[in-house]
Amino acid sequence: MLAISVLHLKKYFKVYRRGAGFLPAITSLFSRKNETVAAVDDISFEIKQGELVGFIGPNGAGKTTTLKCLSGLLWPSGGKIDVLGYKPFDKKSDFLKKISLVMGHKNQLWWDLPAVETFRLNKEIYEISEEKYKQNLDELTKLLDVSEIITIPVRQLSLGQRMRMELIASLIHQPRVLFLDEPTIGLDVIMQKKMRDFIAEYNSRHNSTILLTSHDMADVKELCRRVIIIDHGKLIYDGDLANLVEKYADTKIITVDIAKRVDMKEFTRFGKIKSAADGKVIISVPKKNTTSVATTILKKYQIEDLNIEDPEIEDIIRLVFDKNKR
Amino acid sequence: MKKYFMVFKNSFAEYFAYRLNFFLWRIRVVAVILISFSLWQAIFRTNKVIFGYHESEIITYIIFISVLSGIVLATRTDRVALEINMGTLSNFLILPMRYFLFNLSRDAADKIINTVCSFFEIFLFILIIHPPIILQSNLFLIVLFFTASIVASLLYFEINMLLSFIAFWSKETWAPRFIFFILVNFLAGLYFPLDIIPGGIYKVLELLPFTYLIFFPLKIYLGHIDQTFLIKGFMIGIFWSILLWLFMGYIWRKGLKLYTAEGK
Repeated sequence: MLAISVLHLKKYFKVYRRGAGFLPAITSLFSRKNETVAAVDDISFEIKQGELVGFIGPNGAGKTTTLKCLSGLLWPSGGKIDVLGYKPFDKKSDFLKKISLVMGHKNQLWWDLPAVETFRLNKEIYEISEEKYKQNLDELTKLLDVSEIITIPVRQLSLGQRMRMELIASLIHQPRVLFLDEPTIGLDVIMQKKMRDFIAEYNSRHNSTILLTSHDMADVKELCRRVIIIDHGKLIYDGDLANLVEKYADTKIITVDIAKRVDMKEFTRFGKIKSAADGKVIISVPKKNTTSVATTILKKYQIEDLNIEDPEIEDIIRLVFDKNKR
Repeated sequence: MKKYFMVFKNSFAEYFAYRLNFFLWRIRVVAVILISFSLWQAIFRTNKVIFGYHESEIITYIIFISVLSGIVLATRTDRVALEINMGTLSNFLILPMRYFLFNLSRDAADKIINTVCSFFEIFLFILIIHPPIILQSNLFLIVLFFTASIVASLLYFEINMLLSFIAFWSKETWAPRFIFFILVNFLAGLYFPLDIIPGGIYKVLELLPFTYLIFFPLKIYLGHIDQTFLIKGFMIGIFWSILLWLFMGYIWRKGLKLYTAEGK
């Protein structure tokens, strides 16, 4: 069953431009130059119920704008959006009860009150029964490991704690579709891991549809089988993460542990050396030469270990964006 | 409706996080009244009746502005402009809740706290300064006074929301709000009863919504009224509150299409 369908979505913003300094500031009082920027420029995709999709792209690519259109915050300049059979901008109560949007740096928690007060308020807003509320709250606080701190005023919590409270507030009504915008931004490594485990667990437990944007490729790598890549408001890839590697990676990475000391420069003839130190050399080799290079190395040198891998996903994404620029 | 009650409850609880702020705000209200009070006392030293008002009537008018500043003028709708500009409005738009009712509930907490405080202040005022104040004993007038105050609150809410909605079109909402309120305070009768203004101008003011914010309810409290004044006043006040409610909804829908959810 389809949860989200987006057809030729466009969102244009009008922006004002003004030079730096005093004089341009004064002249801007009388005449201002404005131009239209296409934040999202004709993108289409579909997402099935229960899918967990990574939505990636550089800063300003249009990721967040798309999420805001999907959750009904923004009026689309063109195109059609259907989420669970609703037009998001209508903000029908039934629609809003089935979705949730979590943004990394936004907060809906009441700053001066303990988080549990926001949860209680959301219980009423979403019209959840007492029993269901207790069950959901219990599940979420356990999964996120925060039972102890829900009664502390929000302003006294650390960023990581607050982020988890935000998630609880956004999930207390058990949404069927969840939009996560940079859920791990600003968190330390341990918290990032916790957050990722939670998202994966939540997705499989409730079969909820999750669309997640992130700068951190580790999030995407660990959580999403499918990715949608956009840049300059345009969709440039939609498919399996594995296929992305297949499609765009024209190199392989060979890591060699050498038993005997040799001149590392010798390896330049096989490909581009990424690093070389302490008897370990990492080379990037054109895909088609991988087998022959590996064979030659194994024959010629005394090797302790040899590894052939695909390039890092970050590198591939960078390649995709570079290609798109040209 | 329970959700709006919870908003009210949370707003109430939130208030006590900043007790000093609140205390200083009340001092400001009392100070403004004290200034008006001493000014009018000086004027009445040489005259018994001015513009058809006795000293006790004017003093009651000035002091009861404190109550009305709680019931009518206490509001948090100035936050709305900030929420639009900062993009935090998104946090509310994403919830299955009616935004106007949400704001009315948030305001209700503000109004109750301020009104209760104002009664306490008036009590202290009477105890310490013994001003010649009129304590209305006609129950009918008191009921009408509170009814007129509720219409006034609604009007004030609508005016404030509309001013905040400027934020959909412009980042600069502070200046128009500031200028507008200097004018509104004057036109609402915050400094003096409006009917001391020459007849022609007063006739025009009677048709504007601002008259019904402060002057109309206080005039009822003083009992300076006849049937025509009452009927006409309520009709114009209710007419404006319906008209502004519809206009507010219209501007809100227009604004939402332009909303950019910025700030991130």
